[in-house]
Amino acid sequence: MLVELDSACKVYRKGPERVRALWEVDAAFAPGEFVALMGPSGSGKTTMLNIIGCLDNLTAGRYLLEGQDVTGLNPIRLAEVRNRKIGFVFQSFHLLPRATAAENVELPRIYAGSSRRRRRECAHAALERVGLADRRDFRPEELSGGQRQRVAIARALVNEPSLILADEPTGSLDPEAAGGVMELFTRLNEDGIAIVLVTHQEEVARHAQRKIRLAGGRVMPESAAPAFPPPDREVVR
Amino acid sequence: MRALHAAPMALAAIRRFRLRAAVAVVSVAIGVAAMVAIQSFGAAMQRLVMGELGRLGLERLVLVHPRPAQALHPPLPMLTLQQVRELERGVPGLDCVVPMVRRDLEIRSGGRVTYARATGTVPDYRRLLGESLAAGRFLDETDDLTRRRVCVLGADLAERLLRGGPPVGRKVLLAGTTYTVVGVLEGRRSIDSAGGDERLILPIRTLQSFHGGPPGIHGIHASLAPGADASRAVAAVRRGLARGGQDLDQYEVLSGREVLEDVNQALIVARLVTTAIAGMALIVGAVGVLNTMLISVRQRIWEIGLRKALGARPLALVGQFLTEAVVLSCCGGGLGLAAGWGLARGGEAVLSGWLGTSVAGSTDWGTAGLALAVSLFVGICSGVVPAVQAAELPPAEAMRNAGRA
Repeated sequence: MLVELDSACKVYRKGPERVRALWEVDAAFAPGEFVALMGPSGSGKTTMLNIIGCLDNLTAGRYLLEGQDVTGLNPIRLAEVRNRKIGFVFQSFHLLPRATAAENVELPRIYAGSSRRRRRECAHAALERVGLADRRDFRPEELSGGQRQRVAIARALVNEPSLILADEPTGSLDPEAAGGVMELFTRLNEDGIAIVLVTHQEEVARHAQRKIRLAGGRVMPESAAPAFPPPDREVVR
Repeated sequence: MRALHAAPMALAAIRRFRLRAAVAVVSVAIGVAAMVAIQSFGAAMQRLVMGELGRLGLERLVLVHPRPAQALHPPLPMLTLQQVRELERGVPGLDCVVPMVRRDLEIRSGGRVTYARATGTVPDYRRLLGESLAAGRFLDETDDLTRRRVCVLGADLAERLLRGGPPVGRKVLLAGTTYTVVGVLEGRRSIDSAGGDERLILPIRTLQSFHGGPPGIHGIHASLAPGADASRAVAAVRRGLARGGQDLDQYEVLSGREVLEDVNQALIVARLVTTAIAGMALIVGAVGVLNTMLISVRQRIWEIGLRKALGARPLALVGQFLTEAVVLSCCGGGLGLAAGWGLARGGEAVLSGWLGTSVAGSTDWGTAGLALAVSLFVGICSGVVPAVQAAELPPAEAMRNAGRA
């Protein structure tokens, strides 16, 4: 399995409250799978994505990435895992302002320790793959929303990860640009890259092979319709 | 080796936020420059004043003055020329003793009228103060003993009163009495003649005979014999005055060295005050850096979260922000040192030209180093501390916190 979550729990402290963002979640994704995480806001889908991407720590439970337990890895090994195995795409793009598209795409390559020439080649190849070869010297503020998200996808691709994680990647885009981005994800999935995508739009989730619905930090059974969602946040103690 | 990428990344970040970088650099530079310039200039002023006083030979002098409370009355009323001579003979360690009497006199020449403060004194006055003459001669013993009506003028007074033609041999009217100008002192600009040398010097007996006023002497300047001890000489003068039946409460007897020390103390206090003001400039600069660096903390936390998400190791991140802070602070510090040094030298050059003497300060590298250290410390801490804290956070949290604000 590419991703295996085993009784994964994440509890946030919010002042005196403790919020169960994720509670005893079991999940497994195969390599090359295209999965949509769905649910209302606060259901824990972004938390689950962050856990899978090693951007956040589990409070309890186990997480195996390509069979390796990453729960107890030190910060340096974690940085390597994020760098080599995972590509990230965010709702609000998260590109460095005032840096060109190519400079943004290069970043993960820098942290991978590639030479300057290799970095440039890989960045250009990744930009070409998302159809922005002619925009590599543009800055984010000179690009449209759809183009910015493609730059972000190129950045996610540049280290050739086996898994791309996308948090509401179409949330800030108009329908046309959103369609283009989803087409791009589908094509990348066809190339064998596993994709896990968070969305609350059925229209977006339709591109995925499998949908996992969350509510109140738990995974809903396949059959359960989202008609009776439990409360968003369960407050313990 | 990968941490080496921190340097190019930091430089790229500086390029991306040029204005912020420039403000940080200038803030550091202003603080350091103010410290260096003011300290150096203060040293120059102190050296100038002490140098001028030293040139007067003040440290080889013993001064006798009426107490300040008596300054408005006819001073030293009981002291006569005769007694001054006795003092000269009776006190060991004194080389020459020069009594002085002062009167404010009207002085006329041609159609011009002015007022001058006349000093009646003895020929040793010239030797005592190390004066040189631009023209003619100084007073001599015969002038004094025979009460000749001759005078010596300060360069600026001579220039003002006797414009056109050589001054020596000219007649002037002092309070209605005709005098012959026998010499002109060499013009010199120094702190004792700020505004020009306006001295009018007559033989002491001539002044006392022709211009009435109270008898007695306004002050005595005595020079120490070679090898004589100043404080012992002061004590001896006091004993000599007492022996002559004088009331010691009416006199202030002090050595020139004491005067110099008092002046030096005052200058040191003045320098401390100006340095404190420069210190405030330094603090203002440091606050400027702090502010500039902290403004970007939110941006920075977000950027750190993002870079961690993309696979940056914590050390590489801290390295990047450390490099950025060090580069900005050092550029500012270097610029500040150069600017401060330049300002100090420029100020000295202007002052030198203005006073006609060479004024040289010295940059105290201890002060400069302290100013530099304070600026670097503040600059680097304000750049790095938030970065280190943010690097500890899980990336999701860093990006969320920054993104929601």
